[in-house]
Amino acid sequence: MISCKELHVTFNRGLPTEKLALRGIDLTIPQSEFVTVIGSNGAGKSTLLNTIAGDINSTKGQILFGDRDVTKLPATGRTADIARVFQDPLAGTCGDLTVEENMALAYGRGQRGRLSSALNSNMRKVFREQLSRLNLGLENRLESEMGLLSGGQRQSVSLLMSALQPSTILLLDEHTAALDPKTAALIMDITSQIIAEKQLTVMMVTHSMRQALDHGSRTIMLHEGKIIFDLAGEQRAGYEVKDLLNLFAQAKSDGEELDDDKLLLGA
Amino acid sequence: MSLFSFLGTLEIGLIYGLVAIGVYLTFRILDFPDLTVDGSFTLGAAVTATLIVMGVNVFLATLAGTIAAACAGLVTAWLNLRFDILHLLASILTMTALYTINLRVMGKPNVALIMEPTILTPFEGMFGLPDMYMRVIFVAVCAIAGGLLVAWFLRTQYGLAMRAVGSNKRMAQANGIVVKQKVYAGLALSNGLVGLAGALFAQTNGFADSTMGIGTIVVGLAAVIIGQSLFASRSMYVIVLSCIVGSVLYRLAVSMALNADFLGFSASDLNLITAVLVALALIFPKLRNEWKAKQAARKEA
Amino acid sequence: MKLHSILKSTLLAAAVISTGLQANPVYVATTAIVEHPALDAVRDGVKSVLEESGYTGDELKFTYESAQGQPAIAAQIARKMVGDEPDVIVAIATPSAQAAVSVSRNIPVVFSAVTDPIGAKLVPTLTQPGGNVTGLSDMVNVEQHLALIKEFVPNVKTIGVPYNPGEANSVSSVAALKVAAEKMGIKIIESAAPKSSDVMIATKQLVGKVDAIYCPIDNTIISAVESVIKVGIDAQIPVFAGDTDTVARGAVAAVGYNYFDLGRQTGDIVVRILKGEKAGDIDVKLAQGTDLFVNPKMAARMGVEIPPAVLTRATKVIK
Repeated sequence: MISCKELHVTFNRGLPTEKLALRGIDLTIPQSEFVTVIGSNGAGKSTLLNTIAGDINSTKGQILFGDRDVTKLPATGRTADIARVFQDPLAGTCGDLTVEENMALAYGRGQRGRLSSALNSNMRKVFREQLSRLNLGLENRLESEMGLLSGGQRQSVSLLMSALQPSTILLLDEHTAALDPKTAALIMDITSQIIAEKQLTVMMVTHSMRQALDHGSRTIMLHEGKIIFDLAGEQRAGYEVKDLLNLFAQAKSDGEELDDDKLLLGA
Repeated sequence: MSLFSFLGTLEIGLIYGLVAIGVYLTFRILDFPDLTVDGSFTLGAAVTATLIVMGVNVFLATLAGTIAAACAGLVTAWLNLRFDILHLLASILTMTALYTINLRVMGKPNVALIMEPTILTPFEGMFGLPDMYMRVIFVAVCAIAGGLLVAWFLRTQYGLAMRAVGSNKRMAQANGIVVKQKVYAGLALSNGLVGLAGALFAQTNGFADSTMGIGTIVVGLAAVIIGQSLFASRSMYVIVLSCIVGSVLYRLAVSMALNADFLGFSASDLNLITAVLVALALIFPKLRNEWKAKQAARKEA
Repeated sequence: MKLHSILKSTLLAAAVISTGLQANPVYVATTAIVEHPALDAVRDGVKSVLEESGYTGDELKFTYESAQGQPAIAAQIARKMVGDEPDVIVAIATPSAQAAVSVSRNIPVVFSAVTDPIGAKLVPTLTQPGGNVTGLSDMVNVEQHLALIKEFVPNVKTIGVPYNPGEANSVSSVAALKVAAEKMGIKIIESAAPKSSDVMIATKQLVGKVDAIYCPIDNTIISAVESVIKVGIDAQIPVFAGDTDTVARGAVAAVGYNYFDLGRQTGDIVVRILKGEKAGDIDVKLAQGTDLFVNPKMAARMGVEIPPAVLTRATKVIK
């Protein structure tokens, strides 16, 4: 379980460019829940993810993993708990290393620095099994350089890597947004499969309302650094994209029109 | 080329092989262009020579020179990581400071080791080998052992983490790798190897001189590039050993240039001839590949 | 050693074929750490003595290699020379000499243009050094240099010295200069120029503090001595040099040997070895020289007069 209490993040504090990115986020995600996060550009989706991961320091509030307070812990101290897949397929893997070396890095997430061999036949067996699930033939390309793989292939491997070790939470940051529609659908399928099978706790940021409703068991929407609605259970089950848009219009205080283009990208 | 000259060329090439491995670690593995080596090569030599003249055991002195050079690498890493000084600039600062430090260490610009015991002394006359063979075998063992250790290291969890840091910092961090620690370790290891090379060079050539590090980085880079253009491989063992081979080939190019006087070249043409020979070593694999591709195309047609 | 003999005979055969079978000429191999006019003059001096002593044409094989300023190449050259088995190796400047001495076991090595051969561990003593090494030290006669400056500037109180603290020869000659100057009641002000591009600034630092500037025999300063001369002209401070070659490039005056003379004196030692003397039996010599060069045009531009006594003593007046 992870929870955020009264979480605030301010960029460039005290400068003319000061920006309130998160303004009091209260959120609890129980074990094995799959939460989708939507919101327009600049709503604070990525900031929230990066704050949970420890890349960004919160200015106020608390982050708890279970009952451990990790608010002050730097990113490197949280890696044993957090698995991530980034939007950029190039960001989640090392292009200069081989597929198996990349996977070995993820395999050792949170327990590094030993002078024992980075790879062994046991690991290779595990990697081959995992890769064969993708049906991309990558199980025969363990020694290929990651840089030679396509964006979709790299993102698939990133996804497998994120699930090689148990995590408190898996953070998916628009991980299909940079892919073509067909590959995106494939990756999303694999994502659902892995999450269901391993009973992972997940936060997935997406631009697509369709995707947000089709996957997971709970959807939250951020606007200007706040959660403006939080849907789950039966209420969410009957929802369509247009219902979300209505909800958003109601929730807004200033009556500003929702920019469909921003929100519906890839819907 | 005489036998003595040939063996001498191997000897110097093997010593600079350690420099090439160090340069490979920073430039290729860590993606951290580090010019500190021009100073740390001399520092390794200066510390070792000064301690030997003071009567310290030669192995301890060599170790001390290696560690001193490794510390120089740590300073560069510190300037870069702690104060965000651009890596290239941080290394130039350290290199410049080392010029003075080396003079201070030696107390004068040149410390002579002729007539002093060196790391070679315990091996002299072993198995009845002539001196010139013993020297080559000794430095070959040092360079190859160093190379194998580095290759082994790069294949460990720790080494793989270091390679990830050089390839993709964000990914490395997301997988729990402490990026800064790896950069410190990498620069210390790299400069330590270069310092060891300096210490060996001083002992096999009888002197440490404040000018001896000039151009070390260029020679090291040339060796790395020559080695890698000749051996395309993903194996760490092959890559690291190819650095040593590249260094030996570079020295052979210099030696051939030195022996080119019968072609009407004079001493001042040395650098040009060396550059041309090195360029040929780089062009050859490319031409070979193009030729192979052409042959394959012809077969298909 | 089987491998040894096979390798050796193969390479030897190749060498014999490449050089052709001719009468055994005298083989003198020379090397210097870097090419610059002074060190080149040493080499030419050695060669001229050899030729005057009857080693001419086919009877002399004379080679020269420059290490391009890199000690690693000096080490390679040393090994090449030892491998070529010449009759005498002539090594010019400290690092080249050290590289040659450390690998040559039997071949005689004659060093030249080395200021402190004992400190550089080339020889244990100057007289009867023993072993296979001897040579010529170019330790400058600094008292004579200071006396010359005093002739030009009788009231000289301070002398500025730009030099590269990284050069072994310069450091020892500046140290000697300080000792000698103190005895004469003159203060030496040093200014460091680690690279030739620093020479201009290093010299400018001296302006206003010194009555005269003295350029020691320093590879860095000599390679950029025009910068020193320019500052001397602009600031009206006379520039003196430690070597006479620099007078032609703009110094007011210098006393001492020239490098060609140094080479000739080195050549004399080489000839003695070729005639059968053992290197270890020949004393290390200190360079002798009584050249006095003056440059009246530059003296005028820097605002000093050449004393008539100096002018009559001069062996060469630069026009």
